[in-house]
Parts: sequence; C-alpha cells; structure tokens
Amino acid sequence: MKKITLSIAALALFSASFAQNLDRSIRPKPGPAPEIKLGDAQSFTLPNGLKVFVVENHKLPTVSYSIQLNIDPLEDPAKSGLGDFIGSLITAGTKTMPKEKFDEATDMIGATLQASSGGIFGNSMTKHQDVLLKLMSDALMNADFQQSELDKLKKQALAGLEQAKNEPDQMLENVTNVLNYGKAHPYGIVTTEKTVGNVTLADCKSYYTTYFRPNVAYMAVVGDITLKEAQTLVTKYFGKWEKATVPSITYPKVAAPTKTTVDFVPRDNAVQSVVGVTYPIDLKPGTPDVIKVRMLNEILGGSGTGRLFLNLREKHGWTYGAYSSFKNDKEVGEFQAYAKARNVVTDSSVNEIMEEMKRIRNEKVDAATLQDMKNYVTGTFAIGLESPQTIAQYAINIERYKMPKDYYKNYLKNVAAVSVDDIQSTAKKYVNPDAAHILVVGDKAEADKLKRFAADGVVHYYDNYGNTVEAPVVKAVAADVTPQSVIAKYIDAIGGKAAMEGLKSLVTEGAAEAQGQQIKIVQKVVSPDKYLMSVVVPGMGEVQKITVSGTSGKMSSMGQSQDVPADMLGSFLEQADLQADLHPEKYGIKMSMKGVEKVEGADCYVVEKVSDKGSKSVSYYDQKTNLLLKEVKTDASGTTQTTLFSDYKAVTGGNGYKAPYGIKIQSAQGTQELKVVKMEANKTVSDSEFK
Amino acid sequence: MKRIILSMSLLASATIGATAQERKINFTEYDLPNGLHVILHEDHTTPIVNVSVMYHVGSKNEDPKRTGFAHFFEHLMFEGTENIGRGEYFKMIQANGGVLNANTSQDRTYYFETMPSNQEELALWMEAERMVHAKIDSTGIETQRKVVKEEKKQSYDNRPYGHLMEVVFQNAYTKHPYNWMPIGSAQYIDQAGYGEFMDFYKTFYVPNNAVLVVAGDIKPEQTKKWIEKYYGGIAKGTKAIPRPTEVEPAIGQEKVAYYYDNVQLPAVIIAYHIPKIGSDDAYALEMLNKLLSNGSSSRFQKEIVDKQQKAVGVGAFNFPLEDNPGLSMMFGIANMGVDYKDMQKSMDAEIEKVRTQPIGAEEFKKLQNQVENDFVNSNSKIAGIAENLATNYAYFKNTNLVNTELAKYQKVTAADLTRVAKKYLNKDNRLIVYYLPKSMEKK
Repeated sequence: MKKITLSIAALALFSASFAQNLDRSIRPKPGPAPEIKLGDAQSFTLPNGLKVFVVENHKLPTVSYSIQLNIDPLEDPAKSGLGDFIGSLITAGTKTMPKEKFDEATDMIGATLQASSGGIFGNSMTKHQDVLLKLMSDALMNADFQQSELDKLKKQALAGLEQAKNEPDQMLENVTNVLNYGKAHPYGIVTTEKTVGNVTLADCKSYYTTYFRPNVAYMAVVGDITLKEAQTLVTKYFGKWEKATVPSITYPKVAAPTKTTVDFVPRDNAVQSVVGVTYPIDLKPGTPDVIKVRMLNEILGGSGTGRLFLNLREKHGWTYGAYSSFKNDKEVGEFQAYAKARNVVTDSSVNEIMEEMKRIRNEKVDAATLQDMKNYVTGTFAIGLESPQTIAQYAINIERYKMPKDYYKNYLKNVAAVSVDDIQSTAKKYVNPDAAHILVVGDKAEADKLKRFAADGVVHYYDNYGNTVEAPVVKAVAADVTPQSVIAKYIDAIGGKAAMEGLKSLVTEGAAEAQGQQIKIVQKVVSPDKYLMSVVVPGMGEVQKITVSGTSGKMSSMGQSQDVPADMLGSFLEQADLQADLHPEKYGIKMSMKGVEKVEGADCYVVEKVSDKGSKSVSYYDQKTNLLLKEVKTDASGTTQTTLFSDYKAVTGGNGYKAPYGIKIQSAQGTQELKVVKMEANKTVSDSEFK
Repeated sequence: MKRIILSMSLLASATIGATAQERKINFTEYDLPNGLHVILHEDHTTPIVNVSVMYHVGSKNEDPKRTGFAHFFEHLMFEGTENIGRGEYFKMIQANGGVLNANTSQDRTYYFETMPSNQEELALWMEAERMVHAKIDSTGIETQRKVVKEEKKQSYDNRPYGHLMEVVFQNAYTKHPYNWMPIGSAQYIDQAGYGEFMDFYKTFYVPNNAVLVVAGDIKPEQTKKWIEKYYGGIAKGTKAIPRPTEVEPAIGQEKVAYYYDNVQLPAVIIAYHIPKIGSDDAYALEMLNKLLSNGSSSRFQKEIVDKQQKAVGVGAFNFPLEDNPGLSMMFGIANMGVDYKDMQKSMDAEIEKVRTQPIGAEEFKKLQNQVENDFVNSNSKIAGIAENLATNYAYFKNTNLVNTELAKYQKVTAADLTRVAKKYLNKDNRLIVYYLPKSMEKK
C-alpha cells in the first residue's frame, strides 16, 4: 500500500518536474506530410449540351448549383458596360413572376441566387432545392427584361464611374488594359459615361438570348446530393433549356513592348503615386510553366513575405504594400509589379521594383526561401480543398482549358519539383525589366524624374481612359508674361476693368442635378461685403442658407442655424468682393507663374496664388481667349476642390461684364455640374436679405 | 491507378455513412489542473487542423483611461516570444503552410491558426509560447503603436460611417464599459507604460482565463499528450480576474445624439437595449431583425428601399454582447434629396407594425427557413466550428450549444415576435443617432 502511494506521489512529482524541465526553445518538427486527397468530380452531359460536374459532400445539408458560360462574347466597344447589367437584370423577375414575387420566393427558402454576364449561382438547403432550381431555371430561360430596371442600373453605373474618375487604382487599371492589349482587343475596352449611355434594353436581351445557352455552359453541382439525384433534377429543370449556335470571336494578337517605356497619368492633388510595371505575357492555364511561375511570384512579391514587400515596405517604409502577379489566361496573360508610394519616393520605388526584377533574373534564389514558399503553397492548397466548390472548379478548369486530367492531382508533386534553377530560367523567360511599361498615376511633378527608366528617354502621358495626351507642363513662358499681365488680359476678356469696377451687385440662379433631383441654388452678392447663398430642394424647401454682412454671418441647415466661424468668414467676404481680382493684395495673395499646361485641349497659363492664411489656388487662363478655365483650390486643412468654367456669356445689366454659365466642381465626393440659369448685375438687393 | 479508384470509393462509402447519422458536431472537452479549458473536435475530411485560443478579455475589461488596450495587446502578441524572434511569428506559420489571424471584441480576444495537420504540434507550441512568455518590450510597443494608429485611420477615421458604432455605443451605455469600442483611443495607448502591459498579461493571459480549441484532422490521444506537454506546466494565474460589475441603467426616455462626418448621405440609427445574447428573447429579437432586413423581400428593404425609395440602404441586427443589456440596432441611409427624418418615419412605421400587428404564418415560415439556412452555414468550415465551440464555452460554459442552438430559434413563435417587439422596441428604451454630413453641422 505504502509503495503504491509512494509511486503515485513519485508519478505526480515526475509529471510536475517533466513540465518544468520542458525545453521550450525546441521547435516541434512536423509529422509526416498528410496525404492530400483530391476527390473526383463525377460528370454527365444533357442532350442540349449542358456539361454537369457533381461533387458529393454530405457534411452539411446544403447544395449549390453554379453555371459558368464558356464564351468569348463579341463586345461592342461603344457599348462597354453592358456586361455589368446582365446579372442584375436576369434575377429581377421573369415572364411569369414579377420581381417582388421572385424575391419573396427566393427569401422564402432562405436561398442565395445571383447572376452575372458569365453565369448564375444558387445555393440552398437540400430540402428546398426544388424551389431553388425552379427559380434559377426560370431566370435562366425566361428573364423578363424591364426598361425601368435597366434605367436604375445605368444610373448607379454612372454614379460609380463618376467616383472612379479620380480613383487612382481605377485609372491605373484602365490605362494598363489599353497599354497591354490595345483598344482593339476585348481586354482593352474602357467603359465610359458615353458607352454606358449607349446600352439599350434590346442589347441586353440580345446578349442574354445569344450567350445563355446550355451548349456553352458548365454546371457544378456541389454538396448534399448524389449523382443520381443530380441527374434527375438537372434534367427536369434544365433539360428544356434550348441550345443554339453561339458565335465566338477570334481575339486579335497582342504585341508585348520591345523596350521599356515610361507612361504617366497625371492626377490633380495626388499625395501618393500608384506604380504598375506591366506587360502582357503568354501563359496559358494548365501549361507546365504555370506552377513554376507561381513559385517565382511567391518569391518576387506574392505576399507579405515576398521581396517587393520586404524591400519597399519593411526596409524602406515607402509604402503600405508592394506586390507582383502573373495572370494566366487562355488568350493573353499579364505581369504586374505594383506599389502605392508617397510622391517624393515615386522614382525610388520604381528603381527598387526594377532592381528586384533584375535580381531575380540574375541571381539564384536561396533554397531555404524556396522551400518555405513551397510549404506555404502546399498548405494553402490543402486548406482550399476544405471547400467542395474547389473540386468542382478544378474539374471545370480541366475541361474548359483542356488541361491534363491529372493536373490538380499532380499539382503538389510539381510544386515540390521546382528547383532553384527553374526559378531562374522561368524568371529569364517571364520577368522583363527591359521590355515593360512603367505606368504611374500621380502628381505630374514626379513624372520627369522617371525619364531615366525609359529606353527612349521620354515620358508618355495618358488620360484616365488611356488616350494619349500632351505633356501637361512643357512650354516655357515668355519673359514678358507675368501673373499680373495674365490677369489684366483676363479682366479685359470678361468685360474690362471699368465694367468690373462698376459692378455693385450680382444675382445668380443656378440649377444642379443630383441623383435625379433638381436642386436650385441662388447666390446674391452686394459688393464689397454682403453675401447670400441658398440651396433649395423640391419637396424639402431650403436645405441650406448662408448670409454674410460685414463682419458677421449666419449659416443655417435643416432648421438649425449658427454663426459663420471666423476662419470661414474671410473666404465668403472675398467672394462678396466683386472687384477682388483687381486687388489681390488686399487678401494677402502672392502670385507666381507656373508655366503653360493644357486644359481640355487648350494651352493655359498657370498662375499660383498663395494666401497668407495658408490656402492656395492654382488658376488656368486660356492663352487664346484669356478666360479662366480651371481653378484648383486647396484650403488650409489640405482639402482640395477643382472647378472647371465654361460658356462665358454677358451678364444682364453688367455693361459688358461676362461670367461662366457652365461650372463643374470636382472634389473627393465626386463631380457636381452646375448650370447658371439666370445672372443679373447691378440689381437692387435689399440689405435685409443678408441678415 | 487502381488503388486510387479503390480508395475513392471507400471515401464515398464513408461519407454516405456519415449522411445517415445526424449532422452533429462531436467534441470532447476537459480542464487542465491549471484551469485551461480544452475542446477537441475531430474531422478528417481535409488534412488540416485549426488551433485557436480564446482569452476571456475584451475592451470591457479596460480602464476607461486606457481604452483600446485589449486590442493593442492583441497586436503585441504577434511581436514574438522568448523562443520566437521579432517578426517571426507570422513567417513561421506561413513557411509551414499555415494561415493565421486574431481579433478583439468587447468581450474576448481570439487567436487562430489553420495548418496542414502534420504541423499541429508546431501550432500548439506557438500558442503555448504566447501564453507562457510573450515578448513585451519597448521596441514591440513602439512598432505596434504606429501600426495600430494606421489601422485606426484606415478602418475608422478614413472610412465613410467609420465612427458609427463608436457613437452608438458611447450613447447607448453610460455606466457599463460597453461605452467604448475595442479600437479605443490612440492617445491612451501612448500613455500606457510597460508595467501596465505586464500587469494586463499576468491578469488576463493565464490558462484559467482561456479556452484552447484543436479541431480538424487530429488524433485526440496524441493531441492530449501534446497539450499536456506544452500547457500542463503553465502556472495558473494568481491575480483575481476582474469582470465589469457596472449596472447599466435603463434608457428611460428616448435619447437623441447627432454626429457629423465626411459622408454624403445622412444615416439614422435606432438602437434598443435588449437582453444579452443567449437569452430566449434575444433569439426572438434576432428573428425580428431578419423579418425587417434579411433579403430583398424583407420589410425594410421592400418598403423603404424599393417602393418608397427613401433609403439607399437599411439594416437591422443584434450586436453579440455577453453582458446585459445587449443592443439591437436598426439603420437607414437616406436617399439623395430625402429628408432623413422622413426616412425615419418610414422606419418607425414598420417598427410600429411589428409591435401592433400579428405576423402572418407565411412570412413566419420564411423567417424560420432563413434562420435554419444561416445556422447550417455557420458550421461549414473547421475554423468556424472552432470559434463557435470556443465562444459557447467562454460565454455560456455550454459547448454543446453548437448542436442545440437551432432548437432555441425553433422554439420561438410568431406571437413571441410581437411580444418582444412590444416589450423592447419602445420609444422610452431607445437611442436615436443622426449621423450626418459635415455640411449640415451647426456649431
């Protein structure tokens, strides 16, 4: 008995001391690598040509159906944007079920149902799959395209484009596509307000009836279902889907650059440059190079442990992230090295990206790093298999891209086989620092420093749609042209000094449209120190009003009012002074000549005006007409706003005084257009209006 | 080749066998003598393993003069340990084929890794390193101060409506530490000293305040041995673990707050005090929120967005909070040119309707179907199951809730929805936040 107690005590003691003596510095070694079992998809084909892949997975009582179209649609470049409307239109009601009923029925079974221009996806619990399939097949065959829905979608698309105009990543993407593929290639088509405007309901219907056909479709059925059940259900719901000849286009050939070019998209008020070093590559899905390129990319810049990230962010702190990618595609793929960097380090960032591209070609990579990357790729491959959708997608890829049948089964074996030498030879084939587009979206002041990277020593300029534009700052200004002389000519152009001096008051009525609402704006000024602005929205009344008189002012909005803060008062008083252009010194403004730049095709003198209060404005005066076309204002807190002026006309009662009737304001919130409806000078305005 | 076919058909028969059974999530659980609660869930479908640790500490455990501390601490916990160098934690997981992350809420902090299953021991060792001797030093503190400030800028300050939650919680709670959000204030983190960090670590990052979950392709007997090896020797915490005791008073009468931000469209948020998560009425209220805003045919969506076009977006949901009172929130973002008060009227009309008119059988059936669908999908991945297991134990000491929760929803009747609407969705129990464009600001 005693012995037993003793041994128990000893045991307890042992386990305690075992814990204390654990050497925690020893890192556990991995166990034997698990077998990564890659399930097979079963498949069958309906008489109408629909190819179906079934992956059984009974872990959850749910099932998903997804249809992918294998099409190369003929895209009318003049109607680009059409594809984005198709999906929403397909699920917005059918010939027998209006939108409301359709939504109701989808929600009733707690299902997901979404479509795009390339297919449709539905997911529900297995017990509700009959209803899901009924809705899905109805949408697929009998969608009822309504003009009102398209109108709603187009409006949303236009708002989105407006926001994207000044969005640097969107600008980079547009121009990248144009540079790499050319505007004649479907991958190089750019969507604009105009192309969206051209899309008609008939175009959408035609797309739907042409391309949504079973003989060009792959369907993945995944989840809690057997092959037999899938056969029965798919035949029942999609057997009647009619096949038809689907046209297919042959894509034009794409030319890769032969020398390195520098391509620049100027962006007003940029604080960061977006850099994309890019060119098209020939890398088709399923070819032996794809896996080697994948490993190459992991080392060059695939993630936060890639070289680009470690260099540009960890070592230099120039950016939040820097990455590379090699896109494989059955027509033409693409390489890109990407970073967003502070303005002043734009050229340094380009330099390091180019150096990393050279280094991976010229030096062998470290074997241990390659092994780490292989482990990562292997691990994430296994994690990806947790989703049964992955298996279905693999089966479809094999069929669609005519890949070897055992491509994915051998994937990890092929990853493991990639050698240090493979990485270098692959880099020599696919990494081309000497034949690339160095594309930068950013402040034009940074552009010239990039010349040294260009084989031709020149910076090529583009607008955000990929159209070639002239260099924004090129021409020198003649010695006798000063800010004062430019402004004097401007004053002459809008009616002359006498007319301006004679201005006592100015009453302007303007109209703006925002999301379908007409907004009325009234501005009244009595020089030199009375100002009123009122914004009226129909149905809501006056939503905003500002009045300034002398040294005080009031702002009211939605029934609440307050005094105009002292720091804002100055800017209103400047607007209240109709002769402000005649005496800038009164507002502490110092002017300097910045050069000549183009604004919408017109050469303009650029005059910078800096006030002693910390705000800055840059004005663009047309060399030919002398009129002010553009103004970029930056307030003391750094907020900028760009205003474009057009349509100068004589003002009623102004003795020849002219003012712009077209005004376009661009700010971080988007673009707002304002049309002047009526403008009258020297009309009597009662002082009481400014109280 | 033949062997592959054979093993495939074996696999198929194995999965068919599983169909016949109920789709129950099996697990075993036990406590180590030091108080660490361990939950093991075995599933060999994919050769991966999820290792995660939930520490029962969140922003509600913070000193009001040190808000943001728990979340900041989460960042510090990636800086390294005595045996894992600075910056190596992330790299080590990735170089061994895994992915990792962490997050902090009001109530808990959660760390998780998904790895190939042969790396299970490594992940267990790494989480133990974090628990036993994480490296807390001035370099790490300085680095993470910068990173967290950037995170705050990117995710809150620079994002439209980024301060919405902060404003709601600030006004919905006056006494309870739910008053502030986990991101907290950068200024307080700058003020915190080294001693405070160590004290926080020794108080909350102890085995008796943690749940360890190992889920996936594991052999439980082997897993238990490793857990004993790496966690058995970690000392139990000696400090008392403080939990908030503040009792939040009832709202009493409708409270209104205004906030002005760089947004273009006004938003209205209506928030009600409700019972904490896990209570019967909270389940009913969650269904009520789905009735209002889940799917294109939900009442808010159909009426206010599609028909009246007064809002561009609407929503209603319960915020998952462990303590009483919880919070149910509804929001609307006004359409261009629409008075936000007018949009609020439409929201109020729908709320009044659920308070006064019974819910039809058809619509109720829809709700039940949606609830079932959402519940089923919440357990689709190993990582999701692991978190559900950890949460159910940490909050309710009821790990099996992962299997029984659906029954709690199914118990709710249509009449219950009307009852809870009447009981909680009252004007004297609500906060209204007007989140408006800066241009509407009065000073």
